[in-house]
Amino acid sequence: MAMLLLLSMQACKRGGRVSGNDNSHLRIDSTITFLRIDDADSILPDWSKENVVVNHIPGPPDNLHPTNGRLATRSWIFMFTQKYLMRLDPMQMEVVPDLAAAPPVISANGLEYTYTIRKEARWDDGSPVTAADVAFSLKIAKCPLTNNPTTKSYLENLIDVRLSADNPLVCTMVMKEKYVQNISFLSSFIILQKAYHDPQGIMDAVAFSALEDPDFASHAGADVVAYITDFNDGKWGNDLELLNGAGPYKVTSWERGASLVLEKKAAHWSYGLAGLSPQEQALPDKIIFKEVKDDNATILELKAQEIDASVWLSTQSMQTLEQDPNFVTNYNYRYIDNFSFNYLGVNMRPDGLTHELFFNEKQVRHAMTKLIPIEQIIRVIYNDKADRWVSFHAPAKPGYNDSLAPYSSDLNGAIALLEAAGWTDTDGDNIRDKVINGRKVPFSFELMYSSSGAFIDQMVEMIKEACYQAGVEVRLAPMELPVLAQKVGTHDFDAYLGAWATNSLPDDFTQLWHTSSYAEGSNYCGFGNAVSDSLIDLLRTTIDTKERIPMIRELQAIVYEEAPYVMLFSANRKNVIHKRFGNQIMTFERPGNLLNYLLLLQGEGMQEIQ
Amino acid sequence: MGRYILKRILYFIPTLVLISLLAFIISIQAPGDPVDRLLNTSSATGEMLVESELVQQQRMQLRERLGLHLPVFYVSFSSLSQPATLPPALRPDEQQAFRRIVHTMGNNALAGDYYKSLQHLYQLHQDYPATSEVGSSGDSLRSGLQYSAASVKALLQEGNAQRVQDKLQELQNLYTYNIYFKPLQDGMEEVVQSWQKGTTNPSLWRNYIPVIRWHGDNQYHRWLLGDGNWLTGKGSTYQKGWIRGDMGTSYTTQLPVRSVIASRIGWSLFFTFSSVLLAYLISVPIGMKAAAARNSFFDRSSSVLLFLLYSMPAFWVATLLLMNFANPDVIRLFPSSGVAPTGGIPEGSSWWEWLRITLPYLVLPTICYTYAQLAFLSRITRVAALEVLQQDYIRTARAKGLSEGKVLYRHAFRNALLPVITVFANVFPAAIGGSVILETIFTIPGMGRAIIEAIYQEDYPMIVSVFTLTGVLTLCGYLLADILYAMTDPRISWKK
Repeated sequence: MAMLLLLSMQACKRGGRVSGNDNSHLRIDSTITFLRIDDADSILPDWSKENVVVNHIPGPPDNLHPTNGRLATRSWIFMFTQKYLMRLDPMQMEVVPDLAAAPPVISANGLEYTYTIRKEARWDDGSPVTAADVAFSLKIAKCPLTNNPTTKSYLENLIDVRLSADNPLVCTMVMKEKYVQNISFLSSFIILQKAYHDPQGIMDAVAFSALEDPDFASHAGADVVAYITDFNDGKWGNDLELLNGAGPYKVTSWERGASLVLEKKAAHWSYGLAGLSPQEQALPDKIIFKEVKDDNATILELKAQEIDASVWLSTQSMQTLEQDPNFVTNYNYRYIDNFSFNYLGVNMRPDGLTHELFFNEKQVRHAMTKLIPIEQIIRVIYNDKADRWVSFHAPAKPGYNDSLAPYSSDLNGAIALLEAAGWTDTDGDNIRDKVINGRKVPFSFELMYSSSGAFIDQMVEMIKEACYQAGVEVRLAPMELPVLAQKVGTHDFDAYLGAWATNSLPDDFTQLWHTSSYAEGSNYCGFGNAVSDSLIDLLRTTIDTKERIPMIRELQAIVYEEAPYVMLFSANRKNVIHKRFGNQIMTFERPGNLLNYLLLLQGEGMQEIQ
Repeated sequence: MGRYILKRILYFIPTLVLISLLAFIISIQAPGDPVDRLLNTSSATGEMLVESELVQQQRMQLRERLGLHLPVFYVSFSSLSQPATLPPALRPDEQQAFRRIVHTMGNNALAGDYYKSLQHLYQLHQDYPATSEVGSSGDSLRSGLQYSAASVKALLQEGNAQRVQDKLQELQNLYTYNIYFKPLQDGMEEVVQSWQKGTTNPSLWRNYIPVIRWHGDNQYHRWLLGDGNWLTGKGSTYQKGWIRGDMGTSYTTQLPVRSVIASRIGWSLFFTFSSVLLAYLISVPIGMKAAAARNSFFDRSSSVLLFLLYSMPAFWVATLLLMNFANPDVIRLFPSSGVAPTGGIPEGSSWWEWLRITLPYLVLPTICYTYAQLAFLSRITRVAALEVLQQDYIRTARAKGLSEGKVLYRHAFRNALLPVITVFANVFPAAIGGSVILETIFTIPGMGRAIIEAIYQEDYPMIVSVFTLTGVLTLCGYLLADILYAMTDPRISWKK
């Protein structure tokens, strides 16, 4: 048996290196941002020799339209086929230059960001990527007629993109206000080739200021309206002949329901460049996104080594596979933390008419934190492969408040709090009640949740049972997600189960916790006070991480004290990569792996076991 | 024959209209706002996002484009007080509340004024000076403001007069005792006045005068016939109409629904037809033989075996087959997912190579598609053949000394076909619906998975189109069955 070669140390500011045999759960913390797994020390005879990565996905991307789409798989594919001006580096968990040659030069007032595009960047036709392409990309994304509402909000602060008269590679972005996400927003927008998408220069006639016009549709010229209507057409996201991008891979085949194939371009401007980061490299000849929905079929595909990588396994499937010696021989696998969390939200500001005054008192909300059997849910439903978060701010992000203690199940403590809040069982029916405005109100609240969630039925039953022990009745209300979203958005709830997917970038907390986001926004529960608003306002404009940390910690403490959410858990990502590839990186940040950096192990010195 | 077919098609028209109406009702009753879905603003992904003014502007445009402000159907029965159309700016829940307010006031115009004043008051909240500039007014102002804004928004969705009254009273108190609400007081006063004007002397009698209105342009009309000329389709801007093949745009793929269906129906058709063909090839001979040898060992044993198969659920058999014949730990004779190798079939492959590569992928799904039909078809064939075999002409054929095979397949079989044809009529709708379970388990890119994906994504144009198309194809199946009946049995006349 030959021993290992390819022991390349990963240079990184922060990072982790774990032996290939150590499959323990990798926990998120402030000292480690990704995991680099040692390459295999030998090649087994039944391992495929093809330099093709087959990556498992449970469903297809919605489309591959340059601006109009929302599913995560679409963004994942864009990582290989497209380029951004600045991108989120999942390894370092920060925004780094992609097409930009360097981070922007920021004006003294913090409102102008000047970018220079790297001179070697080229489109497939050989023409250079220019600042005009950047301006066009942002202009079309911001245009009110473009059907991309999920990302449009990120462009609210951008008021102009000025091109340099001297250098076609330089542009300056002008912002409305100093803002923490004035650079990171660029990681949501791919750069489009203006000459390809707008060869007649129709959008040239549209000034950035015109995009702020509340009645843009009426004032825009007919040619602009016709152009955007065509741009919105689904063909730009489905017809492979029309897909165009500056990334090193291109989509060569796509059968919805089966697979999507990315092939490495024969020539690309990045090939041969020195100092490329792992995310910029293109090592596999092909990356195939293979759809397998059924859990059993996924297990068999992995047993048969038909899939090389997956981040979509269920906990049960992963634990089944862990028992298979062949799987353990052929794959590296880890349970890895990520930036998503589930919570139970309560209505802090019920009107007392359509919704009773259950959770307007802090004591009752704190009682809920003691009643919900979080540890039991994690143990029973997730087999301990989920983590508890004390706050909404991920433990891996700077500013996580580790001084806050996790809520603990405490029936007697919860009962004491309920009693103190005036909720007692006066009629002996085991349901607490209280006289509110001269009317006896039983503590019987409705818990809304999406009926399509995995294991949701078991979870809500556990919550119901735990609350009943304290004399609180939970009326379960499963519903379709759009209905739940509508009700929660209009504060038409007592309590609901929700989830947020965040990332490692610096947060603007306005959307979730500012009082202005109660009427229009995601502050569904009605959290907020003068101190929290001031902190959030200050955090919006504070860029320096060191300055932000104490404020973020304080905000977490306030939210913890007010308890609008009962933080439930953050389920681990199940990450699997075949050992026939080296350079294995697993990240906390989405998507969880770097498929383009996987290196087929076949180099000299590597022996095949016969 | 042509006349017969035409006559049958004419009979189908009322059924088709009913199906289209049902499909339309499903589409407008679907939970959530279609504009939300088209705008991709649902929180299905759980991402944090803000609805900006730009998005709200887009929402209005889409609402008008989809014709959601129009009456639902050609004829509406309502009272004199209710308006013919609703303001397009209102969301579905607000439209519902608006109708109730109109009922309370008995006057559409006054209810409209009340709603305008509410919208104005809400706008005043948006324009209120930034709270940070108010100084150290503290939590009470902030929570008061947010509560007030949310209450005004709730009022837009509140149709119960008593609750509106209570809420207005509560807000008035809030505004009276807090000096910081001064900028909002005029707006509040306007709301209260418009409410009182409408409710003090309500024209309730108008609620009891029935009105039948005709709406040439309505949501159903646009959905079915488009927004252009109803006959030619010319002049349509947004919708050509379902009848002209415009099934709408898929919310998810942003492609026309018909092209999504066209791209996914191939494998469903393949498995449906191949399994039906196989099922006929296997079960008809079994049924005929069982009828010929009634109560024999073959008859009984085949019955037991086939019913045993019939009783097994498809998902269980599929999983069992996968775990035993596509499992490296047991025996891997067949691949575990898909209908072709992951990298695709090499370009330039001959049909023979295509078949050789593809066949292993098709075996297990085909078995699962087929086995459940065997019992049903063979029993139907058996019963039909038993009846035919007792006829005089069969006895005559046997008396002539014809072999049992000739008696069975030349004389009895044709007359025993009628029930079998009936079953064939269901093949078409089954093909469009696909098999959700089998396609999911075997990862077949067919209609079943397309539908389940559409359901997960709440892609209602897709769901409704499949529903309607299934209805249309069911009718086509029945038509085909009618024709085959007449061709098979001379006693069934074209003229009837």
